[in-house]
Amino acid sequence: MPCLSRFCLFSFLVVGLGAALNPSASEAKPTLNPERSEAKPSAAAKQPSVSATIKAPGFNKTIDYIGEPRLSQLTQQLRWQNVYWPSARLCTPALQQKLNARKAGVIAQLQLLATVYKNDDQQKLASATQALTEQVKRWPLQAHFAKAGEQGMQPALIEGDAQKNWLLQQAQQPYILTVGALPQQVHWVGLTQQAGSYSFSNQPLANWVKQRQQAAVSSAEFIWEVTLDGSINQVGLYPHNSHNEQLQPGAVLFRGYSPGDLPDGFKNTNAELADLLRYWKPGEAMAEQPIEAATCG
Amino acid sequence: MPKNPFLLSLLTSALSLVLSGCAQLAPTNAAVTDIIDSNVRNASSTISYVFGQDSINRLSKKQLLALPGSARYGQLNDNPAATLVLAEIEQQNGVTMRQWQAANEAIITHNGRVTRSEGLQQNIRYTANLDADPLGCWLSESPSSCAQQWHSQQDVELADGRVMRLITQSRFKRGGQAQIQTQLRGTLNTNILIETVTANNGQQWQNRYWYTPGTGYVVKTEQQLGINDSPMSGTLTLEEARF
Repeated sequence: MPCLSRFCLFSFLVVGLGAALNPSASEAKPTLNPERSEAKPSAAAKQPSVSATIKAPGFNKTIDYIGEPRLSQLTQQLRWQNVYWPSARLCTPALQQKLNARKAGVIAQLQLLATVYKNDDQQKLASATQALTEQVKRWPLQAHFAKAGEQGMQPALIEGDAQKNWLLQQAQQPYILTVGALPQQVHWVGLTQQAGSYSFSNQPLANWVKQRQQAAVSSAEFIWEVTLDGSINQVGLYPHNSHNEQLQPGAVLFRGYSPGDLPDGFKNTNAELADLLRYWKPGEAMAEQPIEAATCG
Repeated sequence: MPKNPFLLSLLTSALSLVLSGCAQLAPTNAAVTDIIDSNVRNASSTISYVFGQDSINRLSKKQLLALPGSARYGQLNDNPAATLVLAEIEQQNGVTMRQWQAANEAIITHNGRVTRSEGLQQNIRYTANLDADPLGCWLSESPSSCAQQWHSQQDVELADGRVMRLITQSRFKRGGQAQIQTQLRGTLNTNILIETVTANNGQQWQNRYWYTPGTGYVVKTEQQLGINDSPMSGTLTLEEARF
């Protein structure tokens, strides 16, 4: 395949689909703009309405709001439920559709990369990339509006925080707020033959990874860690680091390509995949089969 | 809908009042209006008083009486106390849940146990197995039928943002009686409940609850907040400021 085509596809993936799900994209994010249509007596029939569903363990409720509610009106529904608020996510079907498209774009990128490796006679990397392509199809991803490092919610404080107490717009509805239970797993993905979801236990992250190194395809000396709050960290696997960082509940650990293995035009592949992992649905294990069309719920 | 709309409606003014009070408090009886009118500093300063400020005293009786509802003093180790306002209260299945709040920080308690916090430098993200927590039973008049042990898990967010999971086992025992001095209600006779907690990381500590016999109301409690060698770790004391 001509090199130019690679770049075209890459640009499309990064600029187009990436931006489509960028939390800063104004079309996708609930706005903080307090301006809203005033309820004029003559325009009462035009009063907006917003449907929102709140889902948590043992809780499933759909509310039709008259007017456009703030996020805190949804979180208030769960304020006395013992749920794990760092796993809270606000999603809309339209946003989920964009995430699904972005995932499809990343899969296409990986297929292209596998072809490049094959044409360059790097069979090991070609087959590993093909396996990764099939693995990504099984990643359970859920769209949300939050930025990296700010995922999850603090319901007691959200009401007083204008930056986070989003106005939920009629144009974006329906909204789905999901909050999970205490995470009991960590997820191990990427260039490894042992990809899957494992029970969480307190232990140094590097030690946990080394137990699974045997099946690693890449020789990268660090792994990517994506925590529940959406922070993306590169964690070295050096001996002196083995006791520093603890395994994090609910985190996704990604073994990427060694930087030297990535050809021009694909240098950003690791970061793109890690960013996609910010949308791993909390509490969800890696699927057994490819997920064709993921939903918010 | 809020269970207690009156209380909620008073929250904003209460927070302003108390936060201002914390920031502006002088040993003398400052006029309440002065406190209300004072420039409310960054509200996070309220809890930060718990964690290191050294120039705060307790509210005067007059100031406490001006509050719209319950309040507690919070204190970490030997640091000076700060004031937290009761934002919401809910009773479900014999458990009294309270949300004590400043503008940028909040502490949630179940029968007096701190189960979650937000906005502190170090936070309890989640406490598991609350349905089986025998604390409420032990605070009642007939603890002989209460479970002796309780297993739980806590996810604690450390100051650097990393999370540590504590798997804990608690044992309860009565600790005798004591008199607690309160500002507005005078001296109260209380029973003491001692909860010995052993965590999977080897740490062990005691949480203590002073409660009034008959009502089970926790007048004062000392609980572990934070773990390891963080300067934020230590014993958090919550004590009645206004009933």
